[in-house]
Amino acid sequence: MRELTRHRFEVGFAPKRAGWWLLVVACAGGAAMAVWALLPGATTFPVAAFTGLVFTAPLLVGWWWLLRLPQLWSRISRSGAVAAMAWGAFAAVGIVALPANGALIGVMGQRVGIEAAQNWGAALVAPLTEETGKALGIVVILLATSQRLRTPMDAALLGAFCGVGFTATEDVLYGINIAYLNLGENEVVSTTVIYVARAVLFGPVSHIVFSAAIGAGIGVLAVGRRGGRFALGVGLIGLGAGLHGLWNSPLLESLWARFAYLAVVPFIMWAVLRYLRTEEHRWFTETLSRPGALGAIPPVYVTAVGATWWKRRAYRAGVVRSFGAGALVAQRALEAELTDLADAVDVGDSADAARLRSALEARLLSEP
Amino acid sequence: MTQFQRASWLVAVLVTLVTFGAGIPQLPTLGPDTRHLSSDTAFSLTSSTVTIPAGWDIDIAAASQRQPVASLGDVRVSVTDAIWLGASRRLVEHAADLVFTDAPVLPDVPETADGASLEQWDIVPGADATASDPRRVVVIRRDASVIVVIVRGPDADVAAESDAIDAVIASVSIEAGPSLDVEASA
Repeated sequence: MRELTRHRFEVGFAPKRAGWWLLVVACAGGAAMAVWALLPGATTFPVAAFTGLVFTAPLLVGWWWLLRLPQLWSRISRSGAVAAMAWGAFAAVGIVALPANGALIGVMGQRVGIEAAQNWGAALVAPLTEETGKALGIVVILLATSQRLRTPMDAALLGAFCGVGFTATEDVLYGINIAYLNLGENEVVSTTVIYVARAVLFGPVSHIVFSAAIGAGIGVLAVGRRGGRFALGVGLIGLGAGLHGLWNSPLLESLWARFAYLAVVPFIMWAVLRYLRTEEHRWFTETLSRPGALGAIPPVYVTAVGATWWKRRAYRAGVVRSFGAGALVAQRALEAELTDLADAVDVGDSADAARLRSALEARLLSEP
Repeated sequence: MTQFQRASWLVAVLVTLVTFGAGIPQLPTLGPDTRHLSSDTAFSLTSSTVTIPAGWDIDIAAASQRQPVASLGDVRVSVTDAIWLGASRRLVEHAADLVFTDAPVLPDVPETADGASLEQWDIVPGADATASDPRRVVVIRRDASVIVVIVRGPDADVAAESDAIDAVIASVSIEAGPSLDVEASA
């Protein structure tokens, strides 16, 4: 929601925080390790590597824009989103996934058998290593910013941004791998095909979705507000890892199975998003029902803020019908200001809470 | 979050990073690098299979990622698959460029060759080839599917094991089609 003025997880220059150093050093180290791993392929197939880098920009911008859409109750700051993407692109890939994936698949080949490793290695190993690497980014952003999660959606969004970074690096790697596979026959075409397949065709079932589900699970475990949060949190983490494993497994070898998966997963994620919305709405109403939180603002304004985008849209349509088109802007501003107020109250920012409260009081109590 | 909780999370993240980045990569060293084959064994690539004869050693890590590398004494044979859509002459040139550091001797590939029927092209090192270059590279193609067999090792050993190497090459089967030796003899 663009009217929100308060942003979450601002990562500034904070050398006094160990978490900030962890973020910076791990991203730098991971970047060095990722470059080291990609360099031989990039020098052999420079056109594929360059084409991949060119496609990375629209990929990042596209996901940046798409991930703004679910930010109805909170706004992830630019620096926080960039830091999460950097973690996914560098630390999660360079320190966790690249060194561990091959090693664990090799161990599978040693202990279970080469055929089992060939068939199930990627399905079993990648969810463990890659999802762990990305999920660590959520914790590191919290440590670097010294903030806490407010709702499970905070963690889901941070996880999703980590996934964007991860997939950006992995797509470059895939572009180089496909150049190896076709012996560099036409690097521009092969890299383009890979990006169209991974970013466009199968984008809705990519790393972003897996790590968002795992982030949601971590968020539910940490700050869930409803009963059975342990089971649900573990279930969501299992869902993210399971979807990733299934995607890599030989069970989806045929194209129709892939498309069936592609058709079903968005509905699952829609259900997850719906649950997260109800958690956000609970946080909002519970926070503003604290003593003194609303001041003189009539509680009816709080109950008028819908949990989902659709509910708000329907309510706004009613407002426009009753008060004219000009009321739409005021209604949107009201929803944003109340959300900002809830955030300020929740994080203990008394000064901003007082400012927002008095501004709302002045406007709402003076308007008819 | 209290300071203690923050410190605990910091340590947990650090330990996890060290485990995945430095600990797990050492795990394969606790087991064998290779497996000695007591019988002829077929290994899958992306769209083909190759049978490594009994008596050879197979690199477990490479084979687990569908790129079998087999060795017999000092001779190493690696098998990898690829996709090629254009003319076979360009395919052979590209393969040679990627594998050799010094200019090799290329086979005379007809302009019209495009993989419509099973093809096999042998590339051998040039007169000034370095020891690091392969002793022999075989490019096998049918339609868009390509198998590249790379043979490395001392000249004398490669020559001594040429029958065994030929057996590996002959065992290559692209997708569900007939194996190379059947097609070649047909």
